[in-house]
Amino acid sequence: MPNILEIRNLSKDYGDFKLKNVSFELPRGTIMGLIGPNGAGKTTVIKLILNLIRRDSGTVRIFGLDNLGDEAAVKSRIGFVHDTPLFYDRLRLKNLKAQVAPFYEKWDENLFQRLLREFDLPPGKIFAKLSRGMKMKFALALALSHDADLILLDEPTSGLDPVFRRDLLSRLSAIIQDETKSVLFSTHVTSDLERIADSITFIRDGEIVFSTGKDDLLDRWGVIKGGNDLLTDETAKLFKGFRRREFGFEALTDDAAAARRRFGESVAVDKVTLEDIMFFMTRGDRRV
Amino acid sequence: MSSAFKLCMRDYFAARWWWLIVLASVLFFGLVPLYWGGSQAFMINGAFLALGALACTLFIEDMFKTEAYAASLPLKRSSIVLGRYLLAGMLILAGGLIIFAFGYVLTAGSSPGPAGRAGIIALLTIEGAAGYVVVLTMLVALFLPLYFRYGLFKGSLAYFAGLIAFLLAGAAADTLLSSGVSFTARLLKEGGPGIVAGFYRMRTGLGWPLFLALIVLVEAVTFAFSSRLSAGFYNGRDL
Repeated sequence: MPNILEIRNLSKDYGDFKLKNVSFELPRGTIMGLIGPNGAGKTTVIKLILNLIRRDSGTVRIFGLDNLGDEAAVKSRIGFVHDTPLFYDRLRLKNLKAQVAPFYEKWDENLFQRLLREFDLPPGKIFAKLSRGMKMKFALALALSHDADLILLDEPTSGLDPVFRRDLLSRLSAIIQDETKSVLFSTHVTSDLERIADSITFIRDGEIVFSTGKDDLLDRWGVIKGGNDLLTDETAKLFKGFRRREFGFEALTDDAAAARRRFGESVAVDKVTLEDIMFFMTRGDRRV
Repeated sequence: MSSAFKLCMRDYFAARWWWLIVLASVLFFGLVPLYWGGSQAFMINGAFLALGALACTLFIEDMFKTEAYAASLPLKRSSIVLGRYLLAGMLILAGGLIIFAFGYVLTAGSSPGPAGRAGIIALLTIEGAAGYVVVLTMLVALFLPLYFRYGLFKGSLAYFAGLIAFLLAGAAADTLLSSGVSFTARLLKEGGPGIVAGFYRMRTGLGWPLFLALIVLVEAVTFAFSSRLSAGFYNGRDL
């Protein structure tokens, strides 16, 4: 499966924050979730892909093209939603569309109008009068209306009600069905990713911790629960992160089967969620 | 170039009402030069039409943080820069047409008319138009590289600090040369007619064809040099 996006050794130094040698690939026809705590570098990665900020080193290849050398050609095939809607607040939706549509050769006006209707967005409404969720919906309508091959979404579901979030997720799933398009989806709402993502890239302190298939991750990893007497310096090394509590410990392991063999019936091994992974690897007593 | 036009249309949608407010205020305050200030007030008011409209456009982009959205569209950074120069050029030309037409309307009728009438008539010449275009081009060509390098706020600070330094240097030179008239006062008193007189001498010296060719050349070179500088700056800026 050829990659639609290839990032190699991408670095950016802001002084107080560094993105360090970030590398990952997004195969065609898949959805990747980009997760990590606030300030981990998710938005920086997306901005680097869109060439909004200058990289210090590394390469970004999209559709096999360099994102700097072939900037306009690459961007014409990208649909994007920024974490904060960046539109002229006082304009009506139809005028905001008129500002954007001429830049895309493949702009599909019928699709855009249909999306406006489905999202319940009146074209004559002033953007500032929309709720945050409605603003996000409008940004999504713009992103989805020019037959983009790569959709970049930076926290698109924040502020959206659960009904629309589910609707969005099913739309994204439908987009990749023909296996020519891909979605890179940065979010804190990890339950969304559990529903639709094919792969997960976890970024922390500007570094990629892992980039792997979601099903494999959720099958292999686990949360161990046991008595505090089992948590020694030696056993703690087996965990990606742990939390000691009054009546026992909880720990994250990247090999649930090995943990079962090691501890036997003295511990409970629960299925892991992406939220567990986020928590233990960022806020646990020890993180690896 | 088509991308630059599309960006101008984007600016038009965003800033058209602000441009109208600038136009209305220029037309309202345009009555002042007839009775007070004459050519100087008319000149400054005229310059404000194009520069004010451009400033509004940049200000609302900064206010709504839409620059990153524009840079996410299928455009090169150099196209965004070109779009801004094209907009500035069109605003200068449109502003010139409006302010000269307004000047003709204001000064229509038999003399002597109001006190400032003669001063305004002195500006409404081909040389005056050339002076208007060249001076505004220079002002914009100096500002935009700073804008693209530092952003609106810091760029404007740097620009006005530069202008003030220029005026102070002129005043200091006046004092050193003991001319008796301060540079700043002379600029304010004689700026418009002085520029027109200078362009008149140039035109009579070169003849019409060469004079017009020189104006076009100066405009083209100034915008080309400034836009290249801006593109270089903008390419290196994080949004």
